Amino acid sequence: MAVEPVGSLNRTDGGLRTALVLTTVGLAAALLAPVLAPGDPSALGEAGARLAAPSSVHWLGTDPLGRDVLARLIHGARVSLLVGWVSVLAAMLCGTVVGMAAGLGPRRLDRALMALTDLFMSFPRIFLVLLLVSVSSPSLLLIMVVLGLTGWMSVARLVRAETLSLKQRDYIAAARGLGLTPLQVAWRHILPGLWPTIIVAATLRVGGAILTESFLSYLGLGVQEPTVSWGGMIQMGRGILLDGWWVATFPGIALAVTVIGYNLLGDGLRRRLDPRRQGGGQHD
Amino acid sequence: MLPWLARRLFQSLLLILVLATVVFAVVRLAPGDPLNRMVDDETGAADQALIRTRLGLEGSLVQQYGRWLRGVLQGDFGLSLRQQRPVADIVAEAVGPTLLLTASAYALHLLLAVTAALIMSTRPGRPADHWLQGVGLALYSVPGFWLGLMFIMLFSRYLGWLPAGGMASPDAPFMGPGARALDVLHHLVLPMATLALGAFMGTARYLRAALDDILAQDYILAARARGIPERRVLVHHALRNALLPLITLLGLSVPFLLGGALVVEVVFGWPGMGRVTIEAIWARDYPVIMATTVLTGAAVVLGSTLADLLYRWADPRLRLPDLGPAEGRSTGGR
Amino acid sequence: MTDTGRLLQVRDLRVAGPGPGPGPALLRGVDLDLAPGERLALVGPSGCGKSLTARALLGLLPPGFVWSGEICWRGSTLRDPGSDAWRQVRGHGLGLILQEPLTSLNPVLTAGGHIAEALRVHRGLGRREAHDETLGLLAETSVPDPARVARSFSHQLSGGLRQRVLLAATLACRPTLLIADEPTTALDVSVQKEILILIDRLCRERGMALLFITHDLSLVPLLAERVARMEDGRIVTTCPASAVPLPARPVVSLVPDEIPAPVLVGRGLTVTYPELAAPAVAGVDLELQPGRAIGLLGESGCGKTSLGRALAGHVRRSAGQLTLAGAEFPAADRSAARSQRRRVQLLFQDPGASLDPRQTVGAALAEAAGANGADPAALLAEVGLAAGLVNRYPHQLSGGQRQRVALARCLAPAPSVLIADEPTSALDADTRNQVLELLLGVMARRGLALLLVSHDLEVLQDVCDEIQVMYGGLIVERLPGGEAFAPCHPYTRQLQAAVPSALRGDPALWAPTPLHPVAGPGSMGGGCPRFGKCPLQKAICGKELPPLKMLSAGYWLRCPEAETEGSSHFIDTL
Repeated sequence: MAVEPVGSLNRTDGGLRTALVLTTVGLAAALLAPVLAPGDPSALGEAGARLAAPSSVHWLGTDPLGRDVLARLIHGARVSLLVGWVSVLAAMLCGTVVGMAAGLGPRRLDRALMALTDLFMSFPRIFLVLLLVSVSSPSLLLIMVVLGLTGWMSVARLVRAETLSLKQRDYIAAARGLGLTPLQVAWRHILPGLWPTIIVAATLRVGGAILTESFLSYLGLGVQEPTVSWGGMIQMGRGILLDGWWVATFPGIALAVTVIGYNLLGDGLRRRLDPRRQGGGQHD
Repeated sequence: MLPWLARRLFQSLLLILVLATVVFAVVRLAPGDPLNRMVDDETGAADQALIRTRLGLEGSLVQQYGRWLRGVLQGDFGLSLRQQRPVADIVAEAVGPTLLLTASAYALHLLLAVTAALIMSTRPGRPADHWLQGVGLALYSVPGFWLGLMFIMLFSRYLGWLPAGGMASPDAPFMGPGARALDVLHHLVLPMATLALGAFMGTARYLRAALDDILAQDYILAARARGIPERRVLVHHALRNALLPLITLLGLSVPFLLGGALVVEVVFGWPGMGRVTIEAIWARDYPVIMATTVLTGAAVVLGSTLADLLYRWADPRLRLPDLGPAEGRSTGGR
Repeated sequence: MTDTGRLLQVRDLRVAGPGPGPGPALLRGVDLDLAPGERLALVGPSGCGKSLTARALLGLLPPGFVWSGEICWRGSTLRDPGSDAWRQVRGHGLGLILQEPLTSLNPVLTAGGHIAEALRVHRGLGRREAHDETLGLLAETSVPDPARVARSFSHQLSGGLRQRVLLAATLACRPTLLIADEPTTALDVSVQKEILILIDRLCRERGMALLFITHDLSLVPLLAERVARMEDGRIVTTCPASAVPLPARPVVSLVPDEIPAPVLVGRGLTVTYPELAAPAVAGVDLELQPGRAIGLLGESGCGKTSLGRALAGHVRRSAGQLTLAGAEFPAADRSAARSQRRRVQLLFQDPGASLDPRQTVGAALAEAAGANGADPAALLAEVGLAAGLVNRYPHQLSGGQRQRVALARCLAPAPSVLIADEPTSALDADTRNQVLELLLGVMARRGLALLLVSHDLEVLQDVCDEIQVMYGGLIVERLPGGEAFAPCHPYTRQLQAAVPSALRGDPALWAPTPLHPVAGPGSMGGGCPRFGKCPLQKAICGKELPPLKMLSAGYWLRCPEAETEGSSHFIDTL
């Protein structure tokens, strides 16, 4: 009797569970930072406590100014998540409006909007971000606006494609036949069909936004001191990779774990909500 | 085909022109005089006037735009404020290193991606699939600049195997041509690996999805039912069809690659376009920023044009016209 | 021990789908026996496990599926699907043809490439020999111009040709048992007839056994000697094919009556699409009257769906007039057009696609009723459903229930015209008749004008007062349905002769017919759209489009040849 091995299918749920744990921990760290963090992230240590290796006092060591790395790590979650979520929500809102307008509107509007989308997609995102950052002075708000402004194009394309496919369905024709206005059809029948796509796409883009923010802060073009950001922490540890390896290592791990959490969450939601596979990347 | 090609090329050129206009507009229409972002109170009036000339800030905005665009079309991007020499020279020096880095990283990433996709797709749910997915996800989620730093920490500072940055050793000018090439390769290993490792999982996942779709098609079932050996089914039937999504990906990869190269170049001090751009941004050297942004945009447009061209060549459905009206086409609906 | 005289012996075949833990049982103990040269039909409703049985026999279950049981091929038991022994059986022993010939051919390989590959793998032929043998096999499967077809890619071939290429590739391995999984379901009736004849001939000539999988009972006696009926993963009965009853037909009373004044009138309706050279609908006149069922008959691509949607105001017409109760439809004023549109409702082929998956039945009906306040429970009762269904989502309903809900939604705005586009094609035979009877009942009770669009000649003949036959965007014949259905147009007669029950009734029709020559560019030049495919054609047919002429009350014909030659002439030529 021949029996094929069964793939361990429980893993799919495992991925989603891991994702929920990771993202919840990140969110909790950001919200409860003042309570959770061991002390003030900006408090300078005495001369002896500068660049101290991980110990029972400073679990993750201190930086060259004697500030506790763990405390800074927990506070740094605030900037990462705030920038990640706000910029992605802005991009989603913008992309959904443009994508739906292109998919449902007259052909000329579609052409114009897609030409605009193509135009902005012709810049590698980081170049566009840097160009916009270079003409203004760095701030948290600016970073969120710039990441939102440079993130909507791929969403618009995705939403447009999905809208076009939904538009072909018979139930949309049936709804028109019932005398619904185009706006009613869009609101009652198209938008609900888009939700799974939008939710999955948003989740998968949070990681990319967080990474871009951290790179900007690493370059000194993002969030400025005294606000703590993981990218800035890595920048501080860049020159002391051997003597103070903990300064750059831990914020990188925090970034990676957070981004893994959102990527896993996006994948898990996709399996749950959207039977069709979408394309690969979120680094756009 | 030819009229299509002409139209496509014309569209691409138009897009590059519009793109240059957008860059000009962003820099010139941003709130505040670009001059004010560059100078402080101590800059003398004479110097201010000089910078104004260098930036091409004389005359009306339309005149400035016309002057700049004419220059761009002739390959003249003006003078760098920081280095006091033509931007075109600076960029020309940077193109080679970036090409070397991106091309080698792209080749490595493709090799890794195709291998990983084949392994995952032919062994779904097995340990190899799970491991690759896990490792790939981790590499995919790690910040590229941090991964580079970790590599420097491990392979350069701690183990001392590879150089930490730059493109050549200090004594390179005294080496023979063969030794100099080896020296460059030696410097290339870490940046290339950082770029390729960070990028390959995105491609692998995309390819895996395409392969899974293809392997579930009726024609694969039909080929297997004809007793065609599995290896042949994979190579002749599945991979040949996966070539089409791969070509699409080629066009899409250019922006990712150039963006990734910028990150890696900054970390490793690789003297390419990305590093030039960042240094220009730190120095608010607008002529250079505008030049590199326009050029990367143009590279992306050309990449997608090339991918379109390849796609039409590779897909028989687009390459050949129908032979005639097909009677009783199957509908698939019933 | 196993019986070596048997070709195939299957005992207690069980298959479970993927799932966490033990997956759902899809096959639950299938036993099958086939002798060399024997022809067995496997029938049953969709989802009963017919195709899964075929894939299990080939050792080609989808990933994650688990099987158990015994499969014996010529006396030796097959155990490991990945083994060389089983691979040799695939191809050499078992051959497979699938329902959808377009997706069964690799899009980047030529047709000849498929056949040559099988020849080189299984019979070790060289490039040259394989090429010659490829042409021979294409000729054997009645492919006209084999050399050209061998060079073509699948997207360049018609459905019938694709299925022939697939047959040739399968025959290249010289199988002793051919598994045909719904081989004609995706094809038009006239093509279906040719493919059935071909399979019958090949089995006979090569002494191949046949496992013929179909959902259509009427096809069974044409190809099989024995029939096994599957239900829910098991074989429930096996009997001789001759004992299979003809499928039941819907019972509808057609009352020939005074023809009332039309409510929807189309004149010279034309629909063009930018991507198509020829118009999909080319100047059609059509009238729909209250309480009458008009049938629109045609094969795929004839323009019947475009015409139906143009009549409902869903597709913009490029020429012609359309009036609803005397007023221009759709009206120039948008809100007036919307309220007009509510009076002309469309019923779609696939009820799964025509209901919003995120709306409950109650919500869909309430939305459809709008301001007129029709009661969802009353609407459900009218279509024979319980009021308790209002809280269900479409995916919680059966196919028949969904189509009834879709009909109830059409009735909610109290329309005067109902256009039903293949409303029963996605349903199993029993459900089909119930839905048709319901549709006609509703029409009579509400005095609806009904247009029934279908590819199924028998359905339309049974339930329609009048039938219009469409080809190439034109109405070619217009005649009464029911008992009085007596077509003269050569195209309609060809459709009539390809209907399975006609094939079964008349052995003379079951002979190989010469292939119709492929339409050349000559037929595109404004003449009769059937030019190049018609047994009655004269040179003039390629140059002038004949008019649709009324020959007697209720009878119109667009074919001067059929008209002058008289109906007796071409009965023999078909």
